[in-house]
Amino acid sequence: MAGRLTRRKIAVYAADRIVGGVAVKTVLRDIAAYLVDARRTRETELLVREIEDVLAEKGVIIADVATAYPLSSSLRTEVGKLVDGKTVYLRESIDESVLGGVLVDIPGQRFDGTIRRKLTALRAKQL
Amino acid sequence: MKEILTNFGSAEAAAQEKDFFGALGIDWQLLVIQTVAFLVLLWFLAKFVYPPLTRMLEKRDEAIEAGVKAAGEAEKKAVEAQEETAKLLKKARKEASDIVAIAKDEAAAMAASADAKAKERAERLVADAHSQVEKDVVAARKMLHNETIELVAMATEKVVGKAVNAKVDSDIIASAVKDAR
Repeated sequence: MAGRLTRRKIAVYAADRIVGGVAVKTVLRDIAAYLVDARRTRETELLVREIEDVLAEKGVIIADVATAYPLSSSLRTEVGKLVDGKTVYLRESIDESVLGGVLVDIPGQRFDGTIRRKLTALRAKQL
Repeated sequence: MKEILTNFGSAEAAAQEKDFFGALGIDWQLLVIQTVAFLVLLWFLAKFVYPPLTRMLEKRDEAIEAGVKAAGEAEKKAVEAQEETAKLLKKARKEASDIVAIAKDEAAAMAASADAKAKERAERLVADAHSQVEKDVVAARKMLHNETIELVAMATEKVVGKAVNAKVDSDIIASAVKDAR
């Protein structure tokens, strides 16, 4: 029986397949099957992040975008341009606590253009 | 005494008899006896009474003279003592005067020192009070600043939460993206 695979190896394998043109859904199904079989489902979250990191290294960026209201298509394009990468995917979420503006999270980087951050910066100016 | 009276009576009786001395009341025998008795008495006094008496008187004179001398010396000493006392008194007065003057000077110096210390203390207290007031003012300003910021942040949060809609949010996002480039 083969030894236990590291998360990094699994992530590289998955990223290579995605970049190679295999449907993401197919890749994720295979990975999920492996995790269930190997009884490593608790590592799902960590593995997803690892895959994202590997994809980012290969120029495929998955950016988490948080806004108070859904993005329009034009704004989505504009936000996508903020991220450097061959291929950029935006994983959008609605978060009213940002109050307004946009928060973009990518592996190793964050762009915070929200009103919440501006208020936090204002509070940080307290003496 | 009885014998003398008897002799005197005999002499008187003899005087009435014949001789001149008898007429004058002089009895030769009695005179001789009296003379002898007188001489004996004189000898006795000169031999046994006068010398000690004289010595006593001399001693008394010496004592008196010594007393006078002593009194003179005492008077002299008293005068000297008086003079000495006067000198001492004068010296003591001078010393007392000096002491009083020194005490006055020292009291004045102490008063001046106490005055200076009190003044310095008062100035220090005032300076401390000013410093404390300044610190309090700075602290109050800081607190006011912080509270103002907090209030502004809270008010902004409340107002923005209600004022922002999809359109406004799109404008904010566009502005943020533009600033980020």
